[in-house]
Amino acid sequence: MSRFEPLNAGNLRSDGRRPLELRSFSAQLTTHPSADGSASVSHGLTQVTACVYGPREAKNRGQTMHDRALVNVEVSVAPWAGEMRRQRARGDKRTLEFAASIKATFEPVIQTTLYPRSEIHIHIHVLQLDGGLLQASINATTLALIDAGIPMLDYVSSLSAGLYLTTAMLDLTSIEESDLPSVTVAVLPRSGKVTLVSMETRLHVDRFEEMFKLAMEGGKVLRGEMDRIVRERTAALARQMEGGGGTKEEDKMDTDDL
Amino acid sequence: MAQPLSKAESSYTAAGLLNSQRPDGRSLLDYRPITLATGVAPTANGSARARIGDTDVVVAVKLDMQRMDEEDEEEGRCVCSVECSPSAFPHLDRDALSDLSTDLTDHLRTYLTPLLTSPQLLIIPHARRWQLAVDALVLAHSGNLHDTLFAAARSALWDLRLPRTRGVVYDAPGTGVGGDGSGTGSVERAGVLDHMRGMGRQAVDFELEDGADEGLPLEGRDDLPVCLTMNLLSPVYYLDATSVEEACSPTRLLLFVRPSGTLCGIQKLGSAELHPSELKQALQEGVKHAKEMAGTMNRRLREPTTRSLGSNLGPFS
Repeated sequence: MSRFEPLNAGNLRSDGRRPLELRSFSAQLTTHPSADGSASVSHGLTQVTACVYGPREAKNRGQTMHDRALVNVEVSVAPWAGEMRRQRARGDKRTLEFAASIKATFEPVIQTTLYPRSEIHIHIHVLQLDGGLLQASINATTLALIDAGIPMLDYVSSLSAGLYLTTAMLDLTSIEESDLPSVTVAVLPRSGKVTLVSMETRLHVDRFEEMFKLAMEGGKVLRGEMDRIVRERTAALARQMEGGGGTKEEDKMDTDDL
Repeated sequence: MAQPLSKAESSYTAAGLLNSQRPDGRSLLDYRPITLATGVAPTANGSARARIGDTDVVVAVKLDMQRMDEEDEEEGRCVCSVECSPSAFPHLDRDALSDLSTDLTDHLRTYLTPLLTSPQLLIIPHARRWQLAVDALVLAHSGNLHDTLFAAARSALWDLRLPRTRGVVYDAPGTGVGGDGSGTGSVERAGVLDHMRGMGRQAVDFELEDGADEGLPLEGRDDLPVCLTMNLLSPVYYLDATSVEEACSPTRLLLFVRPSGTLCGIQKLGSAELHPSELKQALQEGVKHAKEMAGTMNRRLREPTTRSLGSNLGPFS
């Protein structure tokens, strides 16, 4: 087999995208019947569902804090998600670390001080895995938190960036992720603040800034898309509350657009 | 399994059921709406999502090539797992959740996977075969989990495509095959002969003829059993119970029935006793309903639209 070529002579990537092109992004709100808030997000073939419970009384009273809410994150990966079937045990180190980084991303953004002595539980399901797991999980969690009506400072939007020779590229697939140095950035687009930078590969420091800035820019674009989806959903709900005729049809059209 | 129910609520619901009244207005034998979508997981060889009411299960089937030892039995083998998401059972703790997962995995392993022993799963006799991995994920639960799980598993196996393979034989240079003198190409000099010309020899390896999404459907896929849960609350029985209704039936009977009407498994849940005559009647009625359900499911799966439903089943609202 020939060597994997991340970027061909025509400046196209292995899946036919331009370096700065994102995969198709789609999201749905309220996908789970019993959670307080839930969202399902897909970036290309990566599909993640997040469910939010709370703010509620903590299951484990000992962990509660008297001045703010506790944020709990749990991640489970479906055995069929990746290329090979793989069953992960519950206490899998890698999954725990992943959950911890999502928790750290959202703790400063959720206004936890409004809910003292309570718990906000976030459960993330990975249904499909094709690179960009962290970005998809963060975006899904943002939408699920919004769906649950939990006050946050801003959207958190996240995107991964990679580098091939001197060309930076956005939104990597799993083949690209295994071959290229990559960084995942989560930003608060309005203030431009960054809540997460995660890099597990080596990269020359001179190249870092370019990738970082591109990922931030991309995050702002994603924020616009997420905002559109939230507004559409809210408008549909508002129409249903007013109980106008023909709401069903309009609602159907909305979901088709997604 | 369900949330603890107060005595008052339980007796209220039971009294209603005895009177053929259900909280959601269904009759005792009505199902909630069933939604099936196949092809929901592109990385799997077959996948489906089934929803009965708010109970939601995704099942994916993956194929894996497996080397066989000489003494291994010929048919393919199956592994399965069921994972219950904590978001489906928010009131259960971890241990209870993993107990439940183990229980459900056992049900799949006992009643479904032994039936998947098609010779189709064999690639090269005594050497290679396909291993089926059936993995289920329970995303949401509001009663009647078994029926939903088996409906999803059955639809995923329906969606499964087994890639066609071609055996490759190794032929030492010079010996030729049948002495027809035709094999002067570079392929033969390398010692690799096509299956057609090396007929009769033991194949040592195989190649795939199909791409990832193509292949043959599993043989006998329309004869796989469905699961039907009969909730017995003497003298009545009811189907498709919600979590609350499940909690007030002392005996539940899981029937695994093929579309032809053959019974291939019975499991009794619950601690109450059951008289043989009751069992006999329940079996007769249950098999009738299950047969009807399996027939309908087969008809729906044959419709091409089921596949195009894709991963977006629409929001709950």
